[in-house]
Amino acid sequence: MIIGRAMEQMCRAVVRRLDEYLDGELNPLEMSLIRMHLHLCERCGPRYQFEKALLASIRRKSASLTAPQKLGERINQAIGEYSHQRNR
Amino acid sequence: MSQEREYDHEQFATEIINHLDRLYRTARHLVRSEADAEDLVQDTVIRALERRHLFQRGTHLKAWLLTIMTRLYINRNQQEQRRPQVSLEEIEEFDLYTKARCTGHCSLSCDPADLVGQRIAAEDIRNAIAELPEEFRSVVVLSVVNEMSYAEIAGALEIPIGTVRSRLSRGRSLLRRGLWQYLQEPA
Repeated sequence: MIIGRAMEQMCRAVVRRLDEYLDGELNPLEMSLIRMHLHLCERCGPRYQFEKALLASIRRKSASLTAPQKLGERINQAIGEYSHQRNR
Repeated sequence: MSQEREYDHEQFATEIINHLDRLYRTARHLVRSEADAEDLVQDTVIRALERRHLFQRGTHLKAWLLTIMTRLYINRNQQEQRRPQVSLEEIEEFDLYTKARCTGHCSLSCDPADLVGQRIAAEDIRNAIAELPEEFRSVVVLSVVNEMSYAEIAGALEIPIGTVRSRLSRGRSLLRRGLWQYLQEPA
């Protein structure tokens, strides 16, 4: 019972820090402790895999949007005009 | 000597252009209108060229450019900044993982990660981010989309790192809630 409650508390603490863990923004000791817990915990491990996949999906799909060609032309023109004004 | 300076200027402009796609998609996340996004990109590029002397070669050009863009965006949206901000206390954690597991949309996949990958389109993500209140949208765009560190985001937004952490936590919760709406739509 005591071990179960302690494990639940550990799970709650890990879930609270999961985003920061995914971002690599915890100190080395915290990163290491959470990594171990995720490896061992049957509940938190799959949750971590889900959040990791969600983040990767958001980044991959966001990266599918590229600048339109006309914007590239417009920017090149603006750079040219700026350079010309600088050289006066 | 002046030829050397010109080469540096051109080389720097080329390096900035290499980040054009990222600048464009970030601008599209920050502002709703495509025209405004293109203006923001152009202004960012010109501002970066004007301040080329402030950039340290060898440091992260991506973070430097996104800092310029974010500050231009914030300065232009002072009015929106002055609207009452959403209280951090009012935002509850949203557990998308548990919802996705229990959703019963297993005709496509019983792995919630696959479910999200298959059912959520790029446009859904853009719309969900666009719906975030501004104070959360900036940190989410810089962290979740652009993988900037918390320290870089704190520098860009000129806020403490602790504030970055709390806004990002709430922003991600709101984003998960927004994405859940798209998961619930029929396939």
